Amino acid sequence: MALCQLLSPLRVPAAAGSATITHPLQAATAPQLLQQMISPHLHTPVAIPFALPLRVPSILAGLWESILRAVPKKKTSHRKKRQRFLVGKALQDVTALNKCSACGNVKRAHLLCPFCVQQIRGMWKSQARKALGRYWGTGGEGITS
Amino acid sequence: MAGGDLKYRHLSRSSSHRQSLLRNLVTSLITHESIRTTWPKAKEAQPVVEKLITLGKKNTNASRNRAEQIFFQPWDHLPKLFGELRKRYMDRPGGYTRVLRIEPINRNNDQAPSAILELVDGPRDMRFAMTAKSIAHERSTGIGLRDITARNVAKVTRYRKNGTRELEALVRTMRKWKPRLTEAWRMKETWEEVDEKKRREAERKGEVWVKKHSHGERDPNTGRRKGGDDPFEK
Ligand SMILES: [Zn+2]
Repeated sequence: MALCQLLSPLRVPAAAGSATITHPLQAATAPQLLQQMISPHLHTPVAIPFALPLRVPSILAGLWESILRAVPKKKTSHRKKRQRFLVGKALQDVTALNKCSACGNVKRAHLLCPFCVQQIRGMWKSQARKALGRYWGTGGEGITS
Repeated sequence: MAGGDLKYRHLSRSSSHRQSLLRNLVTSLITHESIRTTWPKAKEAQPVVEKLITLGKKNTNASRNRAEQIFFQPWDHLPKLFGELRKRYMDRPGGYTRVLRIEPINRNNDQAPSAILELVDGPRDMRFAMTAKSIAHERSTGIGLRDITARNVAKVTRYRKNGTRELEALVRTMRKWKPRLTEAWRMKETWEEVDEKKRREAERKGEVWVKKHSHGERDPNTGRRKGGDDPFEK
């Protein structure tokens, strides 16, 4: 029972990877080490053994745990920040597609085919230009003479 | 919307600004027969134009006065409204305009949903032209006229003077156009087209073609296919 209680705080650093007890020899010595390290007033299982060998005075211990250690080591890079903010804001895939009945190209559903629209508008434009040419005559001769 | 149930789109403008915008859009449409703008603007301008053409068809002093108030330069546009357009839409019971969605005009800018607002049966009737182009394409591929194209033909020629003849002439010019060869052009036909072909072939033989599913018929009670619908079910 006592061993179980002792082992339970050990699992925290073990999981974090700072003190692995995969080897059977290590597993045997680790509880004894820990017994020395842990002070009697710290029974909470979150106590990390590496904080204590520094022998911080008991008044500063609280400060050490709460403020000094919970500080980011590096400034978050621009890239990481943008990645975080832009999660879920990527463009959607366009899947509503079908085939243009007037040329056979792929086009978006419920929208006119851009190729056909361009072609038809070009036709209208050239027709208008021709009509204007007929109106003014060729090269504006009709006005001068 | 945050402003409650709105009766119309505000278009991010004050009332006077919006009024001016709509008057400008309407004027452009009457002069050019077809305009490209954003889809919401087109939808807002549409009823204004419809009402204006109704005024033109009424052709009374009161309607003239009202129409004068809408145009910024009434002396330029009233003759067309009370002449050409009035004659064109005499038989048509409303629905003088059409809004067709197109790819965004500002491709590299805001990508706003765009539309063509056009006067129906005019010289720049995009649906009329697209129907002609569809006919030309369908004749060249040998599928024959699809049902939806046939429906469009009926729509665009219904109230148009010499509609059928004009459409045929346009089809003949469009058949001379070179097809734009793209990847999609060389693509296999879609399943709908395959079905359509089979249906037509059966019709020619005097049979009725029913679509058969390769994964078995659907069970009318469960709606699932008998066998092969779900490979993990068996
Ligand atoms: Zn097309």
